[in-house]
Amino acid sequence: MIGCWTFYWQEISLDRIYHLMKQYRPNVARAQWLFSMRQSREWVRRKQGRPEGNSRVAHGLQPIPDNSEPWLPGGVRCMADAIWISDQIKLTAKQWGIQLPQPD
Amino acid sequence: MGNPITTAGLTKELAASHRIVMLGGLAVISHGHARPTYDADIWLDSSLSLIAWAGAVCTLLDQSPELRFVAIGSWVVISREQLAEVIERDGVVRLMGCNQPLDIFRDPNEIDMSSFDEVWERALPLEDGTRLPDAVDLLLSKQDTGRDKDLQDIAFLEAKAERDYLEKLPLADEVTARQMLARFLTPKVAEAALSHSSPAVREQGLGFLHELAEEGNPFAAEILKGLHRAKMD
Repeated sequence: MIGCWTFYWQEISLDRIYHLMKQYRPNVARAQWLFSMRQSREWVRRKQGRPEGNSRVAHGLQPIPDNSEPWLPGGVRCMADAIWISDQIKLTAKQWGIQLPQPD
Repeated sequence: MGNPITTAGLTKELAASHRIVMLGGLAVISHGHARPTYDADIWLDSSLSLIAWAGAVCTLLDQSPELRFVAIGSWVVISREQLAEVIERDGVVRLMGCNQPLDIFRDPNEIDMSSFDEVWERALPLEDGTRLPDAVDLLLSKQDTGRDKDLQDIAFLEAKAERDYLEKLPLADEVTARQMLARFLTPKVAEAALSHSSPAVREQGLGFLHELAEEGNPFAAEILKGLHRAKMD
């Protein structure tokens, strides 16, 4: 009986999720494009005689450490922070003469 | 003299009395993607009635005579009396006159208005009273917009949500795991479900892998081929 109720509750809960929210799935055409790009990259690496994965790791070395840093330590705390980051990116792009993609 | 009214300030004031979820470029930036944006998008509590909702956004006009609402796309100025009608038609209205345009949504793209409570509960509270939706809810709002510029946001959010799922799904209890799968699915996530302790979750993961492969997803087909090879060995 308990199992039955548990099952009933789960089904209602899942049914509500399926009813209200669309399940997010990657776009198939984009997945096919990404797959094809990956195959092309792998083909080029094979032709160049390079290993499948990271070259340094394949040679028994440590990979290059990730040196990327967030714009704000601790992340965004409010909308004003997100606007500040956007403004800093625009300023940096202007400083370096970089054309930004069409914004929102 | 500069205009002292800021988009962030107005939003904070509105968030003091109403539930507001951040959307669009600022939300994507808040999730860690470095890209610029020129407007601010927010979702104001759509559980309010249309009249109450329009009344709430109208209070913003009292902040400065320079503020005005325009219809998205046409840039036609909207009076207070027309606001409810335009909101009902467009699901969004743009506030002009502060340091950047503020788009206030009642009915965001691909997210059902009636799910506001659930999106709000899942969202991260910020210091200004607004909330940041989780990556999956934000992904839904970016899906099927038909805009090329959303593709980079989608790639970033998909990767972020997938990392989070791959870490949490195998350790989640059965109900949570099935709820997670009901919201977000990629071939790697379906594959991760195969290592779950619950047979029901494993079965669902395998079923989803087949579905994705049948839809034409080559990554899912590759995983299934690998599983088949492993079985034969």
